[in-house]
Amino acid sequence: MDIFSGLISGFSIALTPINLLFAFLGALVGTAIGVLPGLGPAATIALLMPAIYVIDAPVTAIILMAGIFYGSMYGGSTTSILLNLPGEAASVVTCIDGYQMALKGRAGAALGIAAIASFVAGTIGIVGMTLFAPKIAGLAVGFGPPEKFSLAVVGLLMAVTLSGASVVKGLVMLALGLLLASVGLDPISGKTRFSFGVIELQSGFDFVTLAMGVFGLGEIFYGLESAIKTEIVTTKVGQVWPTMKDWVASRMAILRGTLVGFFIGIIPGGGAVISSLVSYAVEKRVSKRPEEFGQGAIEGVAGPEAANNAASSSSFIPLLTLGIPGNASIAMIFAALLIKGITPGPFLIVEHPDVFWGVIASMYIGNVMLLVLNLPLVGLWAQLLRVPFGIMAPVIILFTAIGSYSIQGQAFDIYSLVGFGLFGYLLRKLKFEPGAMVLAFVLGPMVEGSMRQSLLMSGGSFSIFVTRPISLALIGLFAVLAISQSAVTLRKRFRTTT
Amino acid sequence: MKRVVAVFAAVMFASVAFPAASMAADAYPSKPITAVVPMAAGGSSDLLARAIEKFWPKYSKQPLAVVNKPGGGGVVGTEGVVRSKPDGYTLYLGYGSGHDVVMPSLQKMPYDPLKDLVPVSRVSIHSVVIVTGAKSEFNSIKDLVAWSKKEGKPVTTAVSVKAGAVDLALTAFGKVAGINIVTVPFSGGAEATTALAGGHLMIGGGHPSEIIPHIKAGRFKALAVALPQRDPTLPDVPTLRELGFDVATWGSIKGVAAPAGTPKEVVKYIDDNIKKICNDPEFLKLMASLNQPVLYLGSDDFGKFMKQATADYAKLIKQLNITID
Amino acid sequence: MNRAEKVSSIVLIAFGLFVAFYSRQYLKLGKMITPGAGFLPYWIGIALAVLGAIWFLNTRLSRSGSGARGEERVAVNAAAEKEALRGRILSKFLPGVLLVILYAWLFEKAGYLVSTALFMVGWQKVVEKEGWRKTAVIAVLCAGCMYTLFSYLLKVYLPTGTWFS
Repeated sequence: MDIFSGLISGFSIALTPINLLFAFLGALVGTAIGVLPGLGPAATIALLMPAIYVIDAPVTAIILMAGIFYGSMYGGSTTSILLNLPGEAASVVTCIDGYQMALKGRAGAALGIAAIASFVAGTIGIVGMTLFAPKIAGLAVGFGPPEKFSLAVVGLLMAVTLSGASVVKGLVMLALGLLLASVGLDPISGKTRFSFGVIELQSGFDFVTLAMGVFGLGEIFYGLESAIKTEIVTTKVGQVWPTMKDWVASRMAILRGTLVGFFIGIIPGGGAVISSLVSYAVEKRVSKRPEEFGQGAIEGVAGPEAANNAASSSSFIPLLTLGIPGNASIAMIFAALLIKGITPGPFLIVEHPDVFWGVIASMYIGNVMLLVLNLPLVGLWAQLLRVPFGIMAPVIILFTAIGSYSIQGQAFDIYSLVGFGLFGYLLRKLKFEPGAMVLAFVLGPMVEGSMRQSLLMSGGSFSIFVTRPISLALIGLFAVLAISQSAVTLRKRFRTTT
Repeated sequence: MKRVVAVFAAVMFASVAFPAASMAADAYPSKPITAVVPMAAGGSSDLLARAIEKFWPKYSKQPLAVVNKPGGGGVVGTEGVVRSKPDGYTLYLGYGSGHDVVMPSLQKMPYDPLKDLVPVSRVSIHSVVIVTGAKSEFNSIKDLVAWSKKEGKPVTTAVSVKAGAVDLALTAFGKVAGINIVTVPFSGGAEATTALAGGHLMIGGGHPSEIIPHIKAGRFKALAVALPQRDPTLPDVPTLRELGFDVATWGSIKGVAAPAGTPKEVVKYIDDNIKKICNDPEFLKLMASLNQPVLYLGSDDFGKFMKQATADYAKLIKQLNITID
Repeated sequence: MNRAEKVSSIVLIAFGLFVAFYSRQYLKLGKMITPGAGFLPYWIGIALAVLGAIWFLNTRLSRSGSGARGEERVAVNAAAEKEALRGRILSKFLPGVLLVILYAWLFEKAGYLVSTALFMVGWQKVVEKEGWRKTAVIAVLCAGCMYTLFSYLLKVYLPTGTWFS
């Protein structure tokens, strides 16, 4: 079946009333959980599994799960922009400039551009999937431990660019993030690290607790101590929609972000997070006004949002073409497919073309639905910021506290949340930018794990990282970026002293 | 002031009344049961759990909810179950995996898998199959051993977790064959299989559930299986013993367990349910499509089996002097 | 601010050294082919200490170069500002933080609904200095919303209070 006829049949399946309904349900639920702290798409799909088994047609089941998955990407950016609360690791980067835009009264523009960027990127991503899926699937397996290590290291370097002016402080954040990630049981040696006898620390810290604490609570505590705020946004909410100027500025950012996200998203493990990081760094690099980044540059929202949505589309490629799941949510979908008697893999497109094309067609439709769902809500969400701080702040605290608790069912997590909140407050006072720390925390296991795996593979030699082509290319990229970054910093230093 | 008291009273009443109202009669089970799988989603244990999850509502009025809690090679999730309330609402699916029967003989554990958990039912056994990439130069174990002895280079091997059943089987094979096997652990079977599919390691160990799809897709070749007799899902694959290497293990056992102290009637209820599921022809069909054999054992027999398996593994480890770094 | 940065940078150096020491001592560095559990944390500790030192040096360097003009006016404002800051810390910041800690402590004991309601009451009264009527309304609404969302819609397990069972 060639692509054209495949798509036609796919759309005929996707446009049936029941599949439309489930696509909508998935998108709705996905957006909702993206907004809520604590519950992620993987956990939601797991919760819904018993219901999913009962759905007759496998296509319908996948449509639902896929909807939840990429719907959560849309929802996650909403809280990132409005409340500085990243719903998912992939939304952390959006917080940086998105929240700053909100503080300047431009929440509407930020939300609008995020929705549009997500839609464009998602759609282009699906087109890419349609046309190139089997050919680029090879990329997914080509990334072994050394490549993953190099990629993660490049990602970490990109994270330093989030740190604003001071590279030293950015590196400190990076190091702390990696350290926090190492707390807990180390599977390779069996030793528990840095738990100091506290049982709850055996499984380490949770991303949600850390991110909500440092970003959300940190911001609230800081707000408590700073001058009187009656609202989160003190300036008028103003223009609710992105202006023409915004659109022009974001166009290229969206395209670049889509490209970045699409290719990096195929790589199993960390695809969406790293792609949002890379996109941000790229935008900052090519921008004519890089000093705006961190203060509310719209490209800093458009690029990463496009990247993480393109990545969520392309992360289906290894699943559908090779039978390899790239992240936790996709792994759930993988398991559900197997239970329904469908083996994802190279034979999927041959044995069950209706499933393959039906899902792809539904993803197009889902993206449109999400745009339709989210755009009108932009105005509504922006109004949320006019709720007095005195009510918003405690409500946010409650939300994040209950969300944190619900992950492992232990009060310790609420204490950690407060602890991280105080830490986040401290970081703000000392002019640190917490983004790099949170992202290093997410990438930490990938960095350490792949490093150890690579060293086992090479027999202890670090040369493995430079003898393999992809890894060499990435390390080379890392070196080029690091050197050029230091050159820029040194030049600035010299200029101020003369 | 009166108003405040009224508000407080209302809230407190609500918080007590609502939950109480939703609780049905006290008979077990009166609310959904959580089944913890301490491995990543998509792996062989997870698939088994979901198969059970699918058929459970057929025989019980309360559903089973599978929750993945990967980490520490399986230890983190299992420990969570060990420390949970023994009321039958938190179960462990995957009991008998490497971290239960192999790891205790190799490193210190924060709990005792035999004493701190009650065996409820055995459902399946996942054997360890040694595979290599389809394009690999090795076509048999003999090739592999010959190459390694000639080149003197280590054989990099993908395994699901460190000190698990797969890791042990391959390490034991290496010792018996006299070649240097370097096991590279990943975070679960799915990740290890992916890495092997990419050709990043020379050989790998996996369970039939994970690797048969790749064999069918023409990406893997099966070289041997580490069981005492051939695995029915892979009838053409010889055992290591047949090839002259005296290594046979139980593989990774998959059963259901509850925290120690769970009441006997609760254990019996769950065991009976699992037995019914294991006799369900649709379940058998699903398991066959997942390439997982159904090998049911009731609570008491399973308990004896677990003790035997742990002892056998301990003996093998001692015999071959296997340690981890 | 400079003093805070100087103190913090020294704390960071000490912390980094502690991490490095602990990693080496207790977690073992391992061999090259199999880095031990302490390998990465050790180098992180060293990096933190080095970065802390650089930070410290930076704070010393930037002291020179602040203008002498307007420093008097700045000094007078600074004192008043400090007073206002202290006031805010005592009246808003500390109570807020303490309330959340109290919330964490009460959560499993009093159940999530009661804790939520009490938290809200505490916040509105102490941090925001609202009247009783508004406080009560907000608290009940809030607890109600949490119940609807978490228990009714999502069916997430939340404690109902060991004090009440």
